[in-house]
Amino acid sequence: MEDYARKESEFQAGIPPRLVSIFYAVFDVHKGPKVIYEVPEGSIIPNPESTKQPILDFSSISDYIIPKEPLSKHLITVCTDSHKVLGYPVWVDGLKYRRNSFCFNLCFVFDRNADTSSYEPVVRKIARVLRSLELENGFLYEEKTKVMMYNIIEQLLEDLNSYCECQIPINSANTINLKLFPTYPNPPPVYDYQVPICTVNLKALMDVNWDLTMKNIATRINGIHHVKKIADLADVNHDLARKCMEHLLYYGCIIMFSNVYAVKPDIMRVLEDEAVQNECISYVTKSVAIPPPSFAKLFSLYCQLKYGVSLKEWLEEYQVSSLNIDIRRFITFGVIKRFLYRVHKYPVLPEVALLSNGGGEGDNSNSNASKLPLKLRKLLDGTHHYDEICTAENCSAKELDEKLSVEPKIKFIWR
Amino acid sequence: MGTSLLAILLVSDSSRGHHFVFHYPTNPKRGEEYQSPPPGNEGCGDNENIDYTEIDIINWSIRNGDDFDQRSRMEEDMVEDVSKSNHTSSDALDSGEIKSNKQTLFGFETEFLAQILSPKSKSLKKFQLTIDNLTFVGQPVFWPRDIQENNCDNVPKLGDNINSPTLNDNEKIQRQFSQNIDSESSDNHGHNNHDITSDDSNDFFSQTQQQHRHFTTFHLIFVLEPPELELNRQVDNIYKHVITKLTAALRYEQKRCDYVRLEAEKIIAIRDEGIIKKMSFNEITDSIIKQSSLAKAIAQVYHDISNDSIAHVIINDYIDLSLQIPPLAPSMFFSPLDNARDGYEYAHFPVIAPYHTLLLLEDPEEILKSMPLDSNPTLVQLVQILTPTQRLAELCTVLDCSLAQIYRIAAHLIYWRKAKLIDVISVRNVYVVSPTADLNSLSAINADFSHIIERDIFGFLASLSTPKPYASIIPSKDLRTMYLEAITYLLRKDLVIQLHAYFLVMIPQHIKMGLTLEQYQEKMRNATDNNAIISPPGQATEMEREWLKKKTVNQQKENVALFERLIKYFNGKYHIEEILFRENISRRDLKMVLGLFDELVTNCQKPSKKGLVVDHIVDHEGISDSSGCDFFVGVMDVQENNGKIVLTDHSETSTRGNRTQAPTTTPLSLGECLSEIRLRTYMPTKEPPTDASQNMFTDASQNITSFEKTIPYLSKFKDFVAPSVLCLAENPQISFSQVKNEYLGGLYSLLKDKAIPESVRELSTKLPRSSGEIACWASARRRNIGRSVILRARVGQKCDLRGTLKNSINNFEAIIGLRSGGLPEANRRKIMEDHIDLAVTLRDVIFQFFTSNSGASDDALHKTCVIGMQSWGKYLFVLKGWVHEIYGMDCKATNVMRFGKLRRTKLPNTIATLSCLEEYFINMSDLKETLKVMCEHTNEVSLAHSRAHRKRRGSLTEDIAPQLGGCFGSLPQTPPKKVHMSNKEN
Repeated sequence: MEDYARKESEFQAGIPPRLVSIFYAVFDVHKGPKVIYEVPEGSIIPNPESTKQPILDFSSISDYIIPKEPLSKHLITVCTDSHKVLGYPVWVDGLKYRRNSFCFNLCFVFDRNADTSSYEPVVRKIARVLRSLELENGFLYEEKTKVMMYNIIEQLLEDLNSYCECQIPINSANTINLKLFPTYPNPPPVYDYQVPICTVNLKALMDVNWDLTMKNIATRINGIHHVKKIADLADVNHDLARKCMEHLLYYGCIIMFSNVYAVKPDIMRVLEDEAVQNECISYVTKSVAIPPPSFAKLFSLYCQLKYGVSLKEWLEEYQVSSLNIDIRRFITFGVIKRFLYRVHKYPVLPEVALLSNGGGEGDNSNSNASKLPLKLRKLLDGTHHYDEICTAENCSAKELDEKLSVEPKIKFIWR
Repeated sequence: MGTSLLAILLVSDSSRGHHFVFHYPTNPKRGEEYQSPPPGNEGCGDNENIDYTEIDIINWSIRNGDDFDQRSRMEEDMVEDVSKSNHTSSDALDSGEIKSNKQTLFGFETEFLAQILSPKSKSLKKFQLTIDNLTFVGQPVFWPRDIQENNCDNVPKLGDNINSPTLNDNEKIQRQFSQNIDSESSDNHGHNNHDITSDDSNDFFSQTQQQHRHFTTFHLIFVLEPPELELNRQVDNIYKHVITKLTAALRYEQKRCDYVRLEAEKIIAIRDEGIIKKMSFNEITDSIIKQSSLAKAIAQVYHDISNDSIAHVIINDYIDLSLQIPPLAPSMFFSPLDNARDGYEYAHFPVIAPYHTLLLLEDPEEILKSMPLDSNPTLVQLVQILTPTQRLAELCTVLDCSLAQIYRIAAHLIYWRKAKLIDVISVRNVYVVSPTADLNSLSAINADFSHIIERDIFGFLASLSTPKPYASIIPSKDLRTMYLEAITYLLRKDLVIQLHAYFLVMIPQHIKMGLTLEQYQEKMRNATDNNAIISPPGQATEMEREWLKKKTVNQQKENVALFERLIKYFNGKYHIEEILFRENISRRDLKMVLGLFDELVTNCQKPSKKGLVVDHIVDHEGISDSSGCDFFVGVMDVQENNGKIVLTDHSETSTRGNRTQAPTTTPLSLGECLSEIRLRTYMPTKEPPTDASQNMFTDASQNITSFEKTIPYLSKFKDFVAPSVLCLAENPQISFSQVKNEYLGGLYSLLKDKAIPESVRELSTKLPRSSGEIACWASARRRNIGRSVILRARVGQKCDLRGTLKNSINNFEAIIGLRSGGLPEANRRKIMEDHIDLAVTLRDVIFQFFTSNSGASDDALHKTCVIGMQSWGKYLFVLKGWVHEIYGMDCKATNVMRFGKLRRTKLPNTIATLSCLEEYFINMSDLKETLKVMCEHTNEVSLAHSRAHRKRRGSLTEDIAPQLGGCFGSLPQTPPKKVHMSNKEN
């Protein structure tokens, strides 16, 4: 039940930031930290002939580009007033070097406000590739192969900016393969009682390389079964099933949906957007043969969903079944478009709630305890809602109603 | 929305090297999954040929935030660690562990941290360094070393401490070593080698040599570990709201009394002593906090900021600081509707409206205690009398201050989390359990709750589970107060929210489509229902309006009038409370109208209640509309009076002063206050937000996207509309009919031929027009009078247009114009401020006229008025039009001026609606006529004055004077010297 703000940030996070410049620096035995190669030209090394100023003052950050040993092999981001430099300095020990060690760093320059999280693995990886190249055959130290670095960084800048991935063959044995992946925020935890709904056609996405469990589970997502049931049907461990759901959630392939409904103020947005209205009509219509209901009708139906009115009552009161509307899709649409949210019913037995807070479980001498099974009783502390309890107890809401009816003290909080 | 603040470090730097002064807490807690691995010392390398290509493909994390890549790196480190475990066993794993007198933090030695956290570049303002997922943010402070030496000769030097025998050799060597590397690694310091490696004997020499080159710094660094994607936001927040303020305070204290340096020395001394005594680092930190006020402040800031609360610290018993990362409005979950519309920085902050009230989140006494002694008396009073059943609008009569001031105080209280904005609590409201309520805390607050009302909280919340008016759950009238208190408590705890009802008009589909019923049925043979949502008022078609009108045919006249007044709110954007407040009607009236409407609709539509959707939509802070809202900054006490604004003011302090005075006495400055909370107010306006002229605008602007495209002469057109006031003012010779013919005729022909006729063009180019900034002649007279000579030199008001009457004897500046902004549209604040400036200028003009014509009779003087003119462009996506407002000011009695809006016109940006240009020209011609009258009048006044003056001279008596003039005090009298001299002559 995320709001629009989050959606926007997701959208932005999907786009990798623009790479302003790449430079390759080493520790020069005579001159200290020194930039050897750079693209585009003149961006780091001041060029006395051109009037253009370098985008950053290398001497002010050189301590972080070529740092002392303790920072070797750490991803270091350093900011100047206008730019952000991502680097991964590496010290290599070896007798062949002048001071028995050699330090290099391939740095990526971005705008200061760029969100560089998608570049972090790339920077790490390329540094490691270069390190192994250096360890194997002194790729960076030897004069002959060193010059290749310029071509490499030039291609890196171009390819990463335009294609978000690049492949650079180094020699017969080594190739640099890089790809930028968008970073999304972590998905919220998935619970057994939630119902996944596909937002894309998963079957079309699926190929033979998919994980078996994932395939097994993905085919069973139908917008009706909750996670636990899917896991049971697919004969998969519940934890694994939840993990799979989290994967799918992360990539936005599904949304989690559970069963109620009050209107958020966001519904007013829909009013202003005719495209959504038309989408809504075509989504919820049951059969094509009968003309669809007008949007105004749908809207007023949406508005009648409120606290304390169950879907069933709502169906009866407005004779929704007589209309050409698929109720399930009607609700899902609201949830997908984020103007409906679920109202849960929380059964509370006040004494249990107070007890659980006090931490004293030992006080089970309460005479009323016998009426309900202890396991169920424990769930009535006001933090578990109907769906959760039903899934845990493997019963329907109706059965749970009956079970709980023996205890008159139970209060129901709708939230 | 909390921050992932891990620790606060203080690093200082002198010519002798970097010092890691203090950090808090001693053992910072990293994220659970990330046990800080030892620094990746160079391993043998064999172990890490894991196939990275495979691992790198999956680079996201599940819940814990540990990505595979990072995990692989950790594995790598672990492997290396294991391979080296023989000699480096648990080295550095435990931060804060003493190991050969070196303290480590985040897996780095503190000495090393001090070094990397002292930036070289002196120009750097914001320091930000990320190592893996640790981010260090700070604002380094530099000051020239020689200044410090001169100022504080008597204080012990840092150097004394370092070289004191208490410091063990190990550390000294370490320090020198680090400096060595330091100077090596940066080539520009290479030549300084000799003085760093020099020993104590020539230290003095080297110091004097360095004096002008070296800066001394301190640097307060906040260490964060934000989750991915949040980095930029968290860093910006903490930097803007905490680091800059705290650093500024420290910098000030350092400058004032060398505070930071002395404290740093104290801390280092305590630490060194502790190390010698073999105390643990926890004990050392404790004793440092006990003895050093700086360390104590840092610790306090850490605790409060990491708990996401407000930190109140007093730096060196001198500077009072309140720091917080301001909370985002709760609307993260319920985003207000209009934020997409205006895309405005503060869109997600609540909108304060007069019908809102404040709910204090703490006891009033507590809040009063936490306020500084010199806080604003109005604020104190407000906190004392505030009850959640009283609207803000009512409070201003109680407190006798303007609404805008109340808003500012309200914004202040909300910003500092002392209050939250709610609708007035009433038994008629509908409350339900909040979807974000924290049910885990219920049992904890049950005891508290039962003090207020004798019911358990679970049952109470259960009764609030279905939306119904609150009154319906109150068993008897006697318990009403108790129940109101209970709901106040729940609101304060964020357990319940209020639901609002919104209205939306439904109309038959065929009307909306502009068809008759038969046509519609023809077209849509099988339609199941025939309902549509009414178009937004601006886009309503003629048929829709007709249909609405028909509904009210057989009703009583008053009802129809009321209905027409209210219909514009039935678009789903206004809730009941807002409608009631805006229209100032009673609930009963509204109900009556709704009933009326319902009946009307049901009669002609359907048996059920479909015509009018009345709904409860969860809403937090009210949804409001920017159009049609008037904005008043409480600079003057504004009362609406028949469309004219009457203001009473005019001593210097109250016009100018009010704007800045009130907020400065509150702990937060006005600028901050205004920028943090979006202030938007509205008065119930006489004009509906969507009146006919606006419809015209919206309609027209939809038809034509840009005026410029349609007519290539836009610039010229604009040019002559704007200076036309000036033309009229300076050329009273042109008769109105002439203007009318030339202007309107010109415009109409411009419409037809899309070209500007020669005559009009001439008119607009020939007329004299000043460019650049003009200062009024009358500038700042009133303000400067009675002031010291130095103050009198102050430059006065600037204006954009000054109309001087040509035929006037004393060059009366009859009209002053101000233009607030061209492209982009001026801020409403800017417009308001210009409005004030205009008022002040007009006052000055009147004052000058009065003083120079003090001989004239009071009556004549009081009939004099001046005209002000303000205009600004209105933009939405394209130019929407121009607004011109004409104001008048006159003087009613000594120091009592009347200022009011005379006319207001809005010019459209399209030629399709030129008829409203007519209104503009009528206004302008009226204005011109007025100016003529004014000219005659002022001339008469001047004549009267000079007559009086001459009379006085003739009779040589001063006693006539008191009968005349003097609206601004007594007449200037002939200085005694002159009187004496003229007597002599006689």
